Amino acid sequence: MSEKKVTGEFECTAVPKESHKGASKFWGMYAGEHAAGTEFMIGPLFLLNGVSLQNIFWGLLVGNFLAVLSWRYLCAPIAVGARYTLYYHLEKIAGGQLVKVFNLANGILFCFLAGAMITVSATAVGIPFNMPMPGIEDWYPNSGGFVLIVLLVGLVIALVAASGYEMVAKFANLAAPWMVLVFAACGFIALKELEVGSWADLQSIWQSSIHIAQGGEVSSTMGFWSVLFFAWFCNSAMHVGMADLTVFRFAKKANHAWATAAGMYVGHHMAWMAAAFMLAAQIQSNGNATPVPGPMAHHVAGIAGVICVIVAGWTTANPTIYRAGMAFQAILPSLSRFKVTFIAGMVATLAGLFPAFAWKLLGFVGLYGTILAPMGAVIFFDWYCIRRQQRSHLDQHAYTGSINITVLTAWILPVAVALYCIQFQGISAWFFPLPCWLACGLLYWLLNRKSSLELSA
Amino acid sequence: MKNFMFYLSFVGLLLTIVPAIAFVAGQLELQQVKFAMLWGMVIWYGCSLARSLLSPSDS
Repeated sequence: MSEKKVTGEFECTAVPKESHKGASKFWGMYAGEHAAGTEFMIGPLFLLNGVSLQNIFWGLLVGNFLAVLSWRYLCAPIAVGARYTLYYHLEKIAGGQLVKVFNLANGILFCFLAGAMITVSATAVGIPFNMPMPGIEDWYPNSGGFVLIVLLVGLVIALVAASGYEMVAKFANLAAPWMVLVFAACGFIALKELEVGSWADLQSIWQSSIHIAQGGEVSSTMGFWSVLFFAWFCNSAMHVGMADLTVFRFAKKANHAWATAAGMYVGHHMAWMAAAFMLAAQIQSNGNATPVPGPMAHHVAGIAGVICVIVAGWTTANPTIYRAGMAFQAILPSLSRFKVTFIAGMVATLAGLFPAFAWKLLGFVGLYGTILAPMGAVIFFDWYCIRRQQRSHLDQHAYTGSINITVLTAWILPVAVALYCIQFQGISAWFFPLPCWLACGLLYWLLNRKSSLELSA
Repeated sequence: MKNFMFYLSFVGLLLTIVPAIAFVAGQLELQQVKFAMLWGMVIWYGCSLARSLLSPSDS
């Protein structure tokens, strides 16, 4: 294992006890991160896909619960046991060169996700400047004003993210309570604007909104299971994919991972439904079914709604760019974390220039979970079946080659099959993280039986 | 002073959500709600900023 620079954020060493953080840091961070810019997109995209209200409610309830359990029982115990970043942990299993390949994929996909968040923020910043908003059919930048505003928003977000974990946590903690209440207020106001007096009224107006949005048809491309799997695996790279080892290595106890429930039920349940109602209210008000977050929030909550979209974009983009920066730093350890995070922020800003990443968000998050999450299974099976939950085993028996072919095989095979099914069979991407994760983990474990026996002896 | 700012910041949160509920109950117009939410935001962030300036290490 090569000597690496050790910085104040413990990228290449275990987090020492004096740097462990209490639960409150995580509640604030997760509530802020998941009540965020992309929530303004995802709820409305459910409506555009013709999902019934019952399927949204129950699918999100169960799917979010499974996501919280995944953080608590799969990711957090390993994070507090090893206290390494995902990349440093994986390097000890997969070899330096393979981790660089994984890091590159990870960093680029995180950047594209952050790009969608920057697009969302830009739609709010552009309102006072009468910026022409991108339409759902626009895949490329639609005006010079949009380009300029995305560049400015991206620059600010990149600078904040590059300032580090403490800065990100402070910003999220400060913004979260207010932002959550704005989401709730937007939902209440939208419901009132829809003039619903009963559940039957709401269903009728919902179906009418889908009818208008789909140009006179009512067809659903997502049912209960789609919503459940989407809710469970839209953050699969973070929980079963173990990206949040990087976050929970600072936790005093694995129990702190229950804090993810704040993000799931406030952000991925209440906020998605509130945002969906906001689009329904906009459709009923002016027939416009384009889910552009800035104008939607301005319609129901005025300037506070616009500021909320901007802040929401920041609180999601900050940790995402921070994670991307960590991924790139593992590739370029000689560069400071500030520089690599800033570069990641600039890549995200370039991605944010293309509204297509925001419009295709549902498929994109499924795809990035399918590609990244299976590597988390390697860490999981390695930690429990081979290292026997001992960090010393991880350190003493670290893989010393550049590419662990066992890990590469276990990762590539299931992902290749999944990508074929998504691309050529037209199956939705959010169904694949689970089978890929299981297949990858089992393949790795079976191919590694010999090593496992050696370590346990 | 710091405690005062802490309690005042909750007024900001109340101004964010309570008018929306009053709107649902038919007690306020939408423009009034938007105005209250704007002040809620100013108070929340203003008090948070003031608290961090009064005691930077605790912010």
